[in-house]
Amino acid sequence: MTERSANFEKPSRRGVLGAILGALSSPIVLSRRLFAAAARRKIKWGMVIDLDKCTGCRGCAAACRAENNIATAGPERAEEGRGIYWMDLLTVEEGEYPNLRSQFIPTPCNHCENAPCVKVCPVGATYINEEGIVAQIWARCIGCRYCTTACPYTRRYFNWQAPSWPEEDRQRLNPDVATRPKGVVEKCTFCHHRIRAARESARAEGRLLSDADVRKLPACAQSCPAEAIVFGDLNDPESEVSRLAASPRAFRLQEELGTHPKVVYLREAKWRE
Amino acid sequence: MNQERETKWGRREFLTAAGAAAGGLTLAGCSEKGDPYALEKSGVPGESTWSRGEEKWIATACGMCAAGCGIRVRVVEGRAVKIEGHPDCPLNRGGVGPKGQSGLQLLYHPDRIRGPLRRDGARGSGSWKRVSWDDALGEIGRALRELRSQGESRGVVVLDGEPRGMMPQLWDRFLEAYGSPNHIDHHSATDGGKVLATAYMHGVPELPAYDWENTQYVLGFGASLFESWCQSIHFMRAAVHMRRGVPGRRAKFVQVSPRFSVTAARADEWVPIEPATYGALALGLAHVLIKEDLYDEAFVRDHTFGFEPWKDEEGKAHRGFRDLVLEDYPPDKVSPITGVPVETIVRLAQEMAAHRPAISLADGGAAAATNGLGTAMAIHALNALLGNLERPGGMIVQRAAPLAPWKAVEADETARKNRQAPRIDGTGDGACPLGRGFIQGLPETVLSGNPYPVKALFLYRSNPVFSKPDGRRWAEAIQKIPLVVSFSPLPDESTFWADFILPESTYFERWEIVEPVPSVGHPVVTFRQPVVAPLYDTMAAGDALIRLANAVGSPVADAFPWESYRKALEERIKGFLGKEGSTAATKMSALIKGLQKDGGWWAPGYSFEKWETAFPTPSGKFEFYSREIAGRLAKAFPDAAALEKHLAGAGVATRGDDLCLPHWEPPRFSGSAGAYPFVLVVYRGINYAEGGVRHIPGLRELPGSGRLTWKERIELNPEDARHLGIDDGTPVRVESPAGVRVLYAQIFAGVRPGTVALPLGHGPWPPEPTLQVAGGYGLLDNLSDPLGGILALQGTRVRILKEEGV
Repeated sequence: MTERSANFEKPSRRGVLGAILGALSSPIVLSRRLFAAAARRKIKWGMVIDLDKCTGCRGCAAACRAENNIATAGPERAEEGRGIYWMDLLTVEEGEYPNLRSQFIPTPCNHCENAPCVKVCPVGATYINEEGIVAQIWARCIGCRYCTTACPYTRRYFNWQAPSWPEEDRQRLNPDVATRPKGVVEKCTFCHHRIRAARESARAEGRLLSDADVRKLPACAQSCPAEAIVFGDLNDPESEVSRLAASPRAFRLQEELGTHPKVVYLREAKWRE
Repeated sequence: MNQERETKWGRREFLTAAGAAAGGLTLAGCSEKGDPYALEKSGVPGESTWSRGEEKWIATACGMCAAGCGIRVRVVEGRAVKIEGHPDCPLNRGGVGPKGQSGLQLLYHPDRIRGPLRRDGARGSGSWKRVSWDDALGEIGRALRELRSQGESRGVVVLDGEPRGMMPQLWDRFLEAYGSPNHIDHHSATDGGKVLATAYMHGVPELPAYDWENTQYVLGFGASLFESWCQSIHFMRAAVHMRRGVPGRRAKFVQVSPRFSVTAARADEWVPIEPATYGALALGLAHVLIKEDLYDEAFVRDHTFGFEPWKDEEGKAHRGFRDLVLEDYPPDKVSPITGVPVETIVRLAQEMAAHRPAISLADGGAAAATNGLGTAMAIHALNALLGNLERPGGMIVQRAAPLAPWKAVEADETARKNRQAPRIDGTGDGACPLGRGFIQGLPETVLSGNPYPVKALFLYRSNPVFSKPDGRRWAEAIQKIPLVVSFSPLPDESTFWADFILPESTYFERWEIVEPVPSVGHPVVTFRQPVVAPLYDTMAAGDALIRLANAVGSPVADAFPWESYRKALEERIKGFLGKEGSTAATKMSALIKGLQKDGGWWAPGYSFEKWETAFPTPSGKFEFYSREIAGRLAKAFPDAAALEKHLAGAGVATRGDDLCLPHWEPPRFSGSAGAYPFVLVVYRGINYAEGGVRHIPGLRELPGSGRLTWKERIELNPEDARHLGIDDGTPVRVESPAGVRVLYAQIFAGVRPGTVALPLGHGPWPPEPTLQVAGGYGLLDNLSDPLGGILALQGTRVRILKEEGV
């Protein structure tokens, strides 16, 4: 897989500023930077989930909860349906015994390009960042829950209570992810803290972030025993996600709503003689 | 009730009794100079070696089930914060399931027992006193020495819940040196039937491995391959390879089971079946394979025994497997038993034959019925008919890693004599003539004092009062034993009655060589190293056992010459030196570095078709007719009349040669169909970890489990529920001959009409020892295969009543 140019490397606004600063220091650097900027493609993070590979184990969901400091809801709140699963497992059951069919669909946030949740947020707490991640600023959220209502995929969760862990269990909280207070909405971030860490590691090694670095980057993708979840840049035609998203098995959830999800599913296949 | 529980058995009791002596034990030698194990940066928290914000990934082995997957743990400033799969481990290649991901909830479990406890008050008073390891082990050692000097060492029993690996071997060593035959495992209640089939037909008393990579067809009999199969993570990877790994090729996976499980849903085809009738279906398939000449004739001719009619040394004629199958199991006879249509039986057999290599496999649970041994043998026999044994794409025998043996025990006369005593669970005698263990028979022999009284009981990774049927009898039996020691890291229903609790360090806090459940065929061990120092004053059971042996004194102590468990393990890994493998080293320091980096040691490559050693049976071939079964029956029963009496008494219909062949025996159930109309189908979900589901919140709450996920529930078919007037989520009264419980109804279309399904491993947490929740909510009856000793998990009938006003 080819390593791509500076667009992985360069965080947005600093690009222009960097170019100007570069221009002040050296005319050669200036021209090179301007050239790079012209060639820059925007990153569009996306995910492909192969339902033919998924075995319904829910390792992705458990990994997500561990990575992102999502507390268990406990008996009462679970019964109220208030468990928080940034990565959920949608189970579809059809038929009557013995003619049954059932499908398991891991469902993270779709990170829609045309995200209904973003449009309804009255305070700008949710937005699409320059790499396509539908992000949520907990501190800005006023808890109005417009977004949880607007999301056609129900991938947004309101904190009806402050999350809680037994004192001993708090030891395992991930220091890279903030815990959310009561009264705010939270959601899947495509593990953007892991993207940032990977980018920094690559930079420290003096190289660019490659497709191989990110394919299994989010916690769900990393954990998946079946390797059914692949992550990457949908704008990079060479990336694994782009290749898979072009599969004839590919589809998106509720595409007809015009949300343009960046999570692409691959249909199940069946054994044929 | 609640208040009573709190005072009797609350978590607080343990905490206060334990005091706040955390971190009392450090890793002996970890900071020694020149220590070959020293990590570049120590994984031990609290040491000054951790600088602010520093983090490290430490390779180790998962311990949430027996699969032993390689993992890496992210440790930040000494706190373990995340688990990921180790990308190099050949079992899981970086993948981890929900159990593995939830492991840190065990490490940081608030209910962990903080240090050794000695009972302080009456048994079951819940009153404990914190003692030092030296005091506890000294006192237990003295008691054992006393017993031994009285010639009573055979009365020491170890219940060992670790299915394989170093600890069972260490326990066995201890009992060999001390003098007791009573090292009792849980196989008869888990995967025992399957192991018996391979032992008697194949000569290999171990779960088989499979060459998934090259197989074309997998027929699973109740095998919960995507859920609680002993190597589920590996199978998930294998299934993906079978389906999408080779362009243009897709292997078929067919699942046979009464309940429409996750595995059934993810199979290419699901074949519903009556509970406990897998054996009949397998024999029906065998019938088609033989009748239509679809079986592998060359394999059967060259490598099997008992297919054709044969004459023994005395000239007596015996019916062969072929005639048995052709005469007794035509599809039109099998179909009404199993509920599988004739055309499906014929088609499946034809498909298997046409898509070789094809694998036929069972789950432990499939053979967990009163007809378990015959069933497991029937399922296994298909592999021989299809000629897949020891061949690419077939069933293979796990090759052992070249671990060096420990020096042989030099047992003294007392030990040898006591070691020869009959086993306390009745294995090998008339009670369980063909079993390799009979844990469920223990309560009765303990209570009766026959054949001899039990004087001491060690509970290692065992909580029979909760996990086995007859919990009340178990509790009574445990209370009758003068000395009971538990190694449980968490409170449980059996530990409740103990005299001493010696809490074991969790798998994040100890050294271990893990021998994973057979899976890939080629040698693999995974390697466990502490990722954090013990959080509390706990100890690896291996270290405790070495110190206990020393407390007992010579000659037991002589068999344990190591200063620590880690040193004992070091002797074993010396076997890897100079061998080809993931770490090919000639020096210990290099080997240890490799093990620490890779989290294991493996040597890929499998040599197929080694016929001269493939079947270590009496005939040297795969035996349709097991001569070992014949021999064992002859040994256990002096004459035909004694055998007849046993069989008739146990309600066994099969007679004669058929007992030594794969055969079908109608299952027996506890409870009559009239009084108890529903067959209880128990299963283990993907969240069933060591010790069950109930103690790990993350596993109780996996997504897609529904709102009842924290409740103790029973699944009903929608039609049955409607008939009974029961709504989803409402309480129902479930009555079996063994017990009565109020559970919550979960309406699920995948439940076979006339059955109800029960997920094992749930129950109250913290444990409520006074509540009878054993063995499937206290509903499972203690019924077993009368010859193989396999616990009949599929052997209880229940009735369901609408519960009003709860």
